Amino acid sequence: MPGRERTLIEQAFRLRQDFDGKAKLRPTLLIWSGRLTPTPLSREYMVRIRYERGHYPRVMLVEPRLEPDERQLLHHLYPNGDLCLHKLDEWNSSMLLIETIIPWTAEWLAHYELWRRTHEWYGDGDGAEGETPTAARPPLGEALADRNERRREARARRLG
Amino acid sequence: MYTDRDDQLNQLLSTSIEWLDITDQDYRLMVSRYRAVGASLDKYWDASPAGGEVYPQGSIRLGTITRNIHGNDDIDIDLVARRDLAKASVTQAGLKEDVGAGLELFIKEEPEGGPLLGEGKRCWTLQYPGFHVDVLPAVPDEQAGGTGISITDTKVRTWLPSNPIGYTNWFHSVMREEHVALVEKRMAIAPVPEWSIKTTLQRTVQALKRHRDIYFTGHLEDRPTSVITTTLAAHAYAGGGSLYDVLRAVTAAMPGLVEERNGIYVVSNPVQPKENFADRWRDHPRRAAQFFEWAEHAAADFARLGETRGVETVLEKMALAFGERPAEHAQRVAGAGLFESRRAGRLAMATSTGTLAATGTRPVRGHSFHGPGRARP
Repeated sequence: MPGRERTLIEQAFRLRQDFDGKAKLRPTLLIWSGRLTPTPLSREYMVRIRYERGHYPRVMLVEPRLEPDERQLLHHLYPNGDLCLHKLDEWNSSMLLIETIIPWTAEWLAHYELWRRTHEWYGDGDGAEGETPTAARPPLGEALADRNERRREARARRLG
Repeated sequence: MYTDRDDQLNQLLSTSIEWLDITDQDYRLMVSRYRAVGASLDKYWDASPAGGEVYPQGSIRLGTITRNIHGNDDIDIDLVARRDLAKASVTQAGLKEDVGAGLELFIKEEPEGGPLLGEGKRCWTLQYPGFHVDVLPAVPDEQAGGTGISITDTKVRTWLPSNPIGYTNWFHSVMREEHVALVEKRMAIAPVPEWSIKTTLQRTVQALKRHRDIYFTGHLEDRPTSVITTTLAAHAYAGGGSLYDVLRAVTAAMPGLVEERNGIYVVSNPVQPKENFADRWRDHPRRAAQFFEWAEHAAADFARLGETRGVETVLEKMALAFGERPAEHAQRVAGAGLFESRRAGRLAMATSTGTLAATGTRPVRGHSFHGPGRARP
């Protein structure tokens, strides 16, 4: 059972405690931008998290731009450019962004840097865990707004 | 995971250079091949009153064998075939012929691997697929004593002094402290063959040899010999330090360790100062110049590794310096390591930078990158 929901204020406060980034807070929306250096030798990445109450947090890379492979594709990315960081049941609103989404983003970026040279993705292990991507179901309340997005996603899934 | 930039750079570099080791399987195969040569010569010598001994020298004995990058470039295993005859009792040609006759018999036994026999200025060569075994005929050097030997050269009328065991002992003495500590540390974890444990000096020599082989692509005959590279590296090695620091320090110091005596470049054999490893530069002065050029390029290439941001760029520079396969190996090991440490719950994130490490404020909770597979960014 998930614990109590973390408020956006709490999320923003905890982000500010740990990072210099900027957090913009509206009644039902938190937008945070900040810089991550996923490994000591990595370059710095500017990421933006858009977290709307009742939805999954969305993470996008602001800078530098993502570089796709020769077929113009990239691993674990939604068609709208958001990073795929977790399965649906791996995140809920009782979790802190600073403890989940942010480290997962750093991990995604660390794998992305390794991926960039030869387009091998090492972030899924050898598949022994049975981590075949499940069909992406949008979180509650997002169904209507994201219908078109899901269609595109389904096409991309067939591609990948 | 990594404690800082130096640590990460050294882990990537070490895994790259580890790839230059020949495989355990290849190593065992080569050892079994040269032992077969030794056993056969022993049998041949049994028929005569004077015995002898066959033993390895060169990179296999030094622990610096490096995978070849060029298809036309074999790994060479060097053997000494020391015949226990008095120098006065045999001519150079006689000794060479005697060992040659023994090897002819070996070939006739149709040994495994189907080697072909060839003759060089100093050695007999047994060509196997992918590597060759150079067998160096020798007699004990009575004047020098100890492990000193006298060898033949079709281009030189006198016996030439040599001392490969003495040389190996010198090389090992330079790195003894580190070697002993490493063996102790590694064996405490799990027993591994001692030859597979490499010191920073051995790794540095492997890195230099590989960089050299890439640099001299298309004119391998001009490259500085492995013994020149190894000798200068061991002289330059001050002991201690990370692989990256040692590699840079050694590369920077090497050119200055080539002596110049009366206009002749000298890299003397540390256990036999009269022997000049750079002797051949006298007939090929271009090679001396090319050695200095190479050392300069290597120093610049290695410096660049540490000046770069972005793991993929660092790996790209490693690929240029040491070849695509070593860099790819480092990349794979890094990726698997990152995945494994998160899966095992050993990954954490530092606040304010978001840098992943083995310890940190924020442990990285289990999850899986999931989603549509691939998409256009």
